Amino acid sequence: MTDSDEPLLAVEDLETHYPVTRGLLRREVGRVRAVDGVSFELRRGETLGLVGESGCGKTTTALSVLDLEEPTGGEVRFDGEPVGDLSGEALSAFRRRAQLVVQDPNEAFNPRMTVGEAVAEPLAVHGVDDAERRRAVAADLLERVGLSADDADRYPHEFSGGEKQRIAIARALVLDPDLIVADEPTSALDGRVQADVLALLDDVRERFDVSVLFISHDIDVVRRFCDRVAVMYLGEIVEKGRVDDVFASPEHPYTRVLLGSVPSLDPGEGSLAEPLTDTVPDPSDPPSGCRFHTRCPEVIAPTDADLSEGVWRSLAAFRFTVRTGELPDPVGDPAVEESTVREAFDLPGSGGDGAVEFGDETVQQAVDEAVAALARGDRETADERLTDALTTPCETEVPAAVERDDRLVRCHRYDSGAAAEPLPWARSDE
Amino acid sequence: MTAGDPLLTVEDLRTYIRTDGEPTRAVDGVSFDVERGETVCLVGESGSGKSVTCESLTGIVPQPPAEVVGGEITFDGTSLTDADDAQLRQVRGNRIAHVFQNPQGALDPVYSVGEQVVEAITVHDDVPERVARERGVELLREVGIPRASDRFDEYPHEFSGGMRQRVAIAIALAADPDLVVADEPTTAVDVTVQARLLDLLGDLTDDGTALLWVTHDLRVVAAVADRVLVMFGGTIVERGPVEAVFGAPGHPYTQALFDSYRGLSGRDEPTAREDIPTDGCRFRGQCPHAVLECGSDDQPSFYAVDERDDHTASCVYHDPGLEFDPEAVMADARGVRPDEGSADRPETGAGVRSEGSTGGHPDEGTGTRPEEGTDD
Repeated sequence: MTDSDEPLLAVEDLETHYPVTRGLLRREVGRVRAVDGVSFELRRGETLGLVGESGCGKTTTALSVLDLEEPTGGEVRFDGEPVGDLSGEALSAFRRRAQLVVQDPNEAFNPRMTVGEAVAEPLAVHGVDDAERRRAVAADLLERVGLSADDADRYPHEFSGGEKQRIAIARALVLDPDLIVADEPTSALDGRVQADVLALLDDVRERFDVSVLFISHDIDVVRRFCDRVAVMYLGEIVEKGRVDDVFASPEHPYTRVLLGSVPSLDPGEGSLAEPLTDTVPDPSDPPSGCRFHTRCPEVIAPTDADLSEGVWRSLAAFRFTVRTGELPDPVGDPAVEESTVREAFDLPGSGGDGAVEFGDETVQQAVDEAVAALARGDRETADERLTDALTTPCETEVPAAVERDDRLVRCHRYDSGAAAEPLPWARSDE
Repeated sequence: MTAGDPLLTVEDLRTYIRTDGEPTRAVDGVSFDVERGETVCLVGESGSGKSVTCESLTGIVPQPPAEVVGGEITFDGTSLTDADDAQLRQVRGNRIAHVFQNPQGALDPVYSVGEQVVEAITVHDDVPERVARERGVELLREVGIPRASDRFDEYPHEFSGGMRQRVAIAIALAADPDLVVADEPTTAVDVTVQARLLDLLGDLTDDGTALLWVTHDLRVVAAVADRVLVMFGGTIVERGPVEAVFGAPGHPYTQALFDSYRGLSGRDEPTAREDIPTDGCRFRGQCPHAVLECGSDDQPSFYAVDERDDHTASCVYHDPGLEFDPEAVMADARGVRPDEGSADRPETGAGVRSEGSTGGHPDEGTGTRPEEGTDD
């Protein structure tokens, strides 16, 4: 609307924590850090995708941006104004200018209201008293989203999921907003219907000149629809940049795991990416340093240990699996053979007799002790031994954001003076 | 894998769902085979009849309102169509096991996971409790549940979605079935979890279990399938080995499915279920290439695509006896908007669409919807 360089939406260090309470007095015993220091900008006319696994804080970010969930820290500025400070007429104006489209169109409508009434309702809320005019606007919008004006008198249940999502989009447009926050708007829909709704959204954002914050776990949809993308893991943004750049050459190991988990459309390409460990850490107790280090296939080896990449990776997998306690059976049982433990984690036999299999004596000793402890069923000792001998730089320091050319990545491999170089990314996709 | 008859043969299956008016033809003449140790994917969108097809196999489709009105299902040489309830129960679980999209629905919240696995084992195999328990832990271990012996006594709500699906798979495997019918087993989980489940289910076929896998996701198909069946409007429209179908999709509907992965090009208007014709080619109302021949009484025959006998599409364009040049026509079908037309086929476009639809349906108004309001 204005011609300034100011982005439409600027989110800085946004934090939304939920207290975990216990007992009669609801004493706070912990905090789920759903969103923990998220910053991004949404420029005018742009579409920004927010991707990540369920539970990573995408939706909480969206709700916090709209001030539907009160952030516990940080700032959201809309058109230069801090959203948290808005009240009265200014807040009402913000509510007009920023709209939400939710995932499940079946939940988005009052079943006892015709879709015409539903689409026109925001007009009534925001002071358009002329019922005839409301009706006309609603009918016009229904036509613009591919339905007919006659549909205004029908009820939500008379429409298919895709049609309902079109109606939801019509309702979001009725106040002529500048921003639409779309939370998984196509996830509940079939492939072709999904394509239809995306095409509609694409058309809408051009014709109505709106910016879109697009939340999705579907990589295909984000690739097609968004200009830029931010990848979230455990409440943080780990990488962001232009969609073409990020998806063609993902830099953060988490982005690589995420993209590599999506099967290729080419039946010949069988292999899928695997994280180091499968257990997603508890967001109320996120790992130290880089939050992804416990699952990162590219976690950096300790600087003082002399280990080959392959050995380090299997030891890291061993260590972080012991840490989570999600041991493959029967390793968790008290009293199993040491050989069983070694087999389960693909560790070479005991160093014994001075033979060092790993190329590093201290590590060898720690691993032998950890295996022995696990065989006795003593996970804590095993964890301690491994932690002492195999501390990775990734867990001791929080990686700084490295920024260049509209690209940001938060990973120690990209720090200046990092202990390890970035690994090459090799996966061709259509 | 094995010489001789396929493990499962479905011939001309018809399952209709009773409504107040005309019954809905959910499955309308579906035929296919599944060989031992093979993974066959059934692809289509919601309402295409893929789930009802699977549920009809072992009679778990709710009857009424559904009714298997015709067809023959043969499993390992015995007819399932003629089987009584007791015989079907023997087959279910023992020989054919189901895995569903939503593991919450498949697991009973008031029994521990272990009890449910043990139940599945003892129902089909009369072994002492202790043996069943041991086998149960072993099964949970096989499907990749960490601390399986500890978690054996935990309840479904204590498991994550992905782990719950693993439990459901363990239960399905309890009786060592010959065929696992998996209906969208990875649709409700994250891609990272899906990747693990794809690996897990893919390993099943290594020891000879056949998989009939229902999905709407072409990427999943690419990852797991040996052969593909594409369904639309209760009929199979294309079938073939996965690399053939993905390399050169022959049916316009399959092509549209692939297009929806590639671009934003949506249709001008969505098509409601009731607008899908119940004879001829079910896709003709939405097909950019429909001609009068598409509206005949029967579904078009299966013709070889790219001269491969094992890759066929139910589309008249592949009929060598007709006068179209299939290559000219089908080449422009992929990713190209229909209104661009091609020189050899002046009749492409909206005009043909109405001819195709109304021609086949003088008695129904199905032809009207697709054209109205298509152009601004």
